Amino acid sequence: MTNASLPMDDGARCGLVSVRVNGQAFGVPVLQVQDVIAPTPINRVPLAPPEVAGSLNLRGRIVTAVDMRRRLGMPDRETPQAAMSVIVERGGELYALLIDDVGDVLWLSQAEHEPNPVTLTAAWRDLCDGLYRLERELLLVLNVERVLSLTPASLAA
Amino acid sequence: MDDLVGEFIAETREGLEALDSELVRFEQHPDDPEILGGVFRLIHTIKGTCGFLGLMRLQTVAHAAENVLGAFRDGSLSVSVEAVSAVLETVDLIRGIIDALARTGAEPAGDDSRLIGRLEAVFAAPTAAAPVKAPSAGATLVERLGGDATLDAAAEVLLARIASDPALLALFEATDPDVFQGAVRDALCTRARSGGPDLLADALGRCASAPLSAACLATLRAHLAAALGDLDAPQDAVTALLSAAAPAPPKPADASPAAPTAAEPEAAAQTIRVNVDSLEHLMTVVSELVLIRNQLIQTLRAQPESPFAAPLNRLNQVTSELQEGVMTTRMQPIAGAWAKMPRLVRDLSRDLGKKIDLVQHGQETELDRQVLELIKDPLTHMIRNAADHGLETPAERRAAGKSETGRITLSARHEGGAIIIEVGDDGRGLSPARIRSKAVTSGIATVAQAEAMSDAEALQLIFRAGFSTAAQVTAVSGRGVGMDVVRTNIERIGGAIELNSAEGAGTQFTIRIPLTLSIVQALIVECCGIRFAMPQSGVVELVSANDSSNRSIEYINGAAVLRLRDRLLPLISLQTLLGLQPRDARRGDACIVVAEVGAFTFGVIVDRVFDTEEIVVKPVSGILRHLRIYSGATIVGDGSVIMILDFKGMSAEAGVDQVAAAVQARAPAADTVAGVPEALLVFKTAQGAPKAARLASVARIEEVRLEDVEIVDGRTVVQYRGGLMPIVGADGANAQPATEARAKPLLVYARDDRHIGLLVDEIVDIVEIHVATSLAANGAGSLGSLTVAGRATELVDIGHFWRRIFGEAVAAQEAAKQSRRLLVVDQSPFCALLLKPLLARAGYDVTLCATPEDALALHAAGDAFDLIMADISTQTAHAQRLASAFRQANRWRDTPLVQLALGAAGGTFDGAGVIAAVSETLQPMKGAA
Repeated sequence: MTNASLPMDDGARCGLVSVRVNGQAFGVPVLQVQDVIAPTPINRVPLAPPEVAGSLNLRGRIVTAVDMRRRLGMPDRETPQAAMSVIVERGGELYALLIDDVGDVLWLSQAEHEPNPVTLTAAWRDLCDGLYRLERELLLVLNVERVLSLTPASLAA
Repeated sequence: MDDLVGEFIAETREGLEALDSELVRFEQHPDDPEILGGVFRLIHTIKGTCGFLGLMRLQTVAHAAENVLGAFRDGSLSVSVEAVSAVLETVDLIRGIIDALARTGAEPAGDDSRLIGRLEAVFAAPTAAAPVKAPSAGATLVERLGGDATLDAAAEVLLARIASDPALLALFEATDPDVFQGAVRDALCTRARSGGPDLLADALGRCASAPLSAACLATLRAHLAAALGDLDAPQDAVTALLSAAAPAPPKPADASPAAPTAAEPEAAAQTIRVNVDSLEHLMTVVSELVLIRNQLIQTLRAQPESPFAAPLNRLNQVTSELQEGVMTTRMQPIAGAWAKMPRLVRDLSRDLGKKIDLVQHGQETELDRQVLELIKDPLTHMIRNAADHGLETPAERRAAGKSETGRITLSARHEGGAIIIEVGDDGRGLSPARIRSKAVTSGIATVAQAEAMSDAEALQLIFRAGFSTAAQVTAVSGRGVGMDVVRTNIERIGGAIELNSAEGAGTQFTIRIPLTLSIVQALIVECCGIRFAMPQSGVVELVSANDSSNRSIEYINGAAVLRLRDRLLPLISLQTLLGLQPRDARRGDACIVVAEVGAFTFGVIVDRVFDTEEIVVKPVSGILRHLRIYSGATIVGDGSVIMILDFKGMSAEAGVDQVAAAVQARAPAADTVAGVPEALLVFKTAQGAPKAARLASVARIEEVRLEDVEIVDGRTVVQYRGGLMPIVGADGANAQPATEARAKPLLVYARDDRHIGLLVDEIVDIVEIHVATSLAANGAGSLGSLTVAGRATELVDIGHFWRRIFGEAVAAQEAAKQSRRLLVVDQSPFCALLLKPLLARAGYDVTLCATPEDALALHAAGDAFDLIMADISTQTAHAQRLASAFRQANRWRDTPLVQLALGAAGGTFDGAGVIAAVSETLQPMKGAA
């Protein structure tokens, strides 16, 4: 991660770590990202919700891994071991969002931010905070808090 | 300022903790100047800091208490219970204000005038009694000024004034306000007592960061003068005190009090305050370091000649040392949890009117801060219990030939990686008999169960929920929530509690808790290729179940059980519980981890058991917290994350709690009586055949050794309760005397004053089962067969044995009695627990219905009874339903009805009376028959 030289989130611009899940581009707010790590062994946790891939050891801290493909209702990846992780923090605990690939940190103008299209499925609408129109594709902004809110309701859904 | 307030709060709280124990010691040894000095200093520090921070309410209260303490110190006031109570109350008030301050950041509003009034009354008491010394010219300067306390207050006001004057503040900012106040007070006191040179300028000069100008000194003197004026000191005395010239020659009589300067040595800072979070962080980093080291060692093991070997060896040692060091920073002496106890005992002894001594040993024993916090409440509860229930009143103690003062002992020590805490009293001890009867009346055990218990087992009942031996609920304790909560809390932190009691000599609780919660001994197991940790504290033993070890898992209607020695162990399969897929098609053999949760034991089937390991416990992450079967997670040596299983959660998840309830045949609750399943005792005969007997008809279960069996007049008997009891084998064969050492269970049946014993080989279980009404009898001594736990089991006809042993005549009479069928319609547990066994033992065939509708169903089924017992006394909905039910029950119209009036019975239950009433009602019937 080389985001130190870049300006901080100053209201006018918004920093997003671009990630790719099953071909779709998403942005994770850079201020919430602690780390991006290479594929690492994940230990399964039986009885955990299906979205939870397991837990992993990040330099002595236990990190719970959430598979974004499952969280977004996408098909499982063919090589499960190859997932990259974006480490985010919530309530003093670390979580790893398993994604397919990580791109650059994008600094986008708040003015270009657009709300979720009304046709977006309810599940995705709940997890995304609007989008940005990039040159070649659309980038959905992930709401980390809601991605990690695995309430029993979302389990049933 | 916020930081200052925060620090003040932390400091004051520490001070208050210390104060509680100090003050109680002080009451016991009022003449010890050291303790008095300590107490005075504490209150004084609180007051001083409050003044500096502008916390006026706290300051006034502390000031009033300080006056009283100051008077104790000067010897002008003798220590009384009343005075100490008032000071203790002040401490409580200060604590309350401090708590509010911590919450809101501001002093709460409130009126303390009553307490202050009390303190002032205590303070004024001796002065009023002593000849009134008007502050005349004849009095010493100190007295005219209003004593040391006034001078101290003046020093304090000076401090506050300096704080509000920027020019002066700059000079004194670097000085500890306490040191400053002390210096000024001492200077003033010395001058006021003994005259002598003016020390004030010196004192001020020492405290200032720069030399004081004359103008500055004058301002300070003016401030002091104004302050003393505000405190009602006479003007001439103030002038005499503050004038630079030497005052009148000192009075020799006043030279005696020791200068307080020596009493307040400057303690060098030996400790620093560290945020707990930084310690926790340090701990995390160290455990990470430990893991890295382990990995390095593993990597290097393959290359013994590596140049890294030597440095790694060093690293290994340093890491271990570091880990140990960090661990010790989290350790605190147990005195922290005990600090409140002397105060608690003192208050209790006053409230309860008992004399109590608290003896403490091993206060310096250290344990983890977190554990310390968690045992505070259980310990407090146990001390309350000991004082309230354990110890007798002085009169009772005298009568029992003990000293009037009861003693509560609190001790702690290290023992093999654990802390042993003992809480004991020399009171009346626990009475197994009282516990038994209490257990029956509160529905925790049935009469038969209570009687079958050994004394030691009966004592364990106090750990059951809803149990209290206190005859009456007092303000202190006895609400029936108690030892079960204590036990739960202690078990939650991986501890265990044991109980020892001798009636009349006292009770002793022994608590064993781990030193720390963050590192525990755990058993690493594997199931379907996934590893888990199980806290070693809950593991009782490991059993391997395979074909070769002649011990295999059996299934009862799909539920796995294991025969382990004398009992049936319910089993949980980890694979099923966690919904895992087995790796191999066929598992060779399984390991069973026998675990204990509370009083309940069960087994967990796992694939493999590795070693025990010390693991660092980390909390389960938020999105997995709903999984009750995990109590935490940990990182093991190879760096992988494994989950820590929680036995309590597992048993709840698997529903074995309910299984256990059935196995232990707890007293059925009122609503489960409806179906009226009968409790059957399942046992094995000498030939190994399973048989069952109605539990309600068994009077007692004893153990008998075959070598005690004798043959008299062709009958097999055993000595029992001063007489001879005929015994017979449950399979019908006569029991033969033998030399087998093992004691065998003996089911004792009683009718009137006669007993017979049924010798069985092994008691297997107690089950609740619906006994079919028509049982095909297939032989003498059997009422028929039924299915228990999937096996055909014969129900023993005890009437057959009565006939065989006591002859036809008696048996006929018994049989006539036996044929009497009683119907009891009532929903209270009393009937199920007491009445039914009682009547059954008297030889009646009792049917119990919880509701009138159930009774009506029996009527519809064509059942007939000789007598109906029901509660028709009250105008309740139940009684009305009953009345309407009986109107419909035509065939029962001639059946006599005995009224049950349980609510009006006034609590005493006259068993013999009930039997008499029943047999009397049936008498004419018998004549007619």
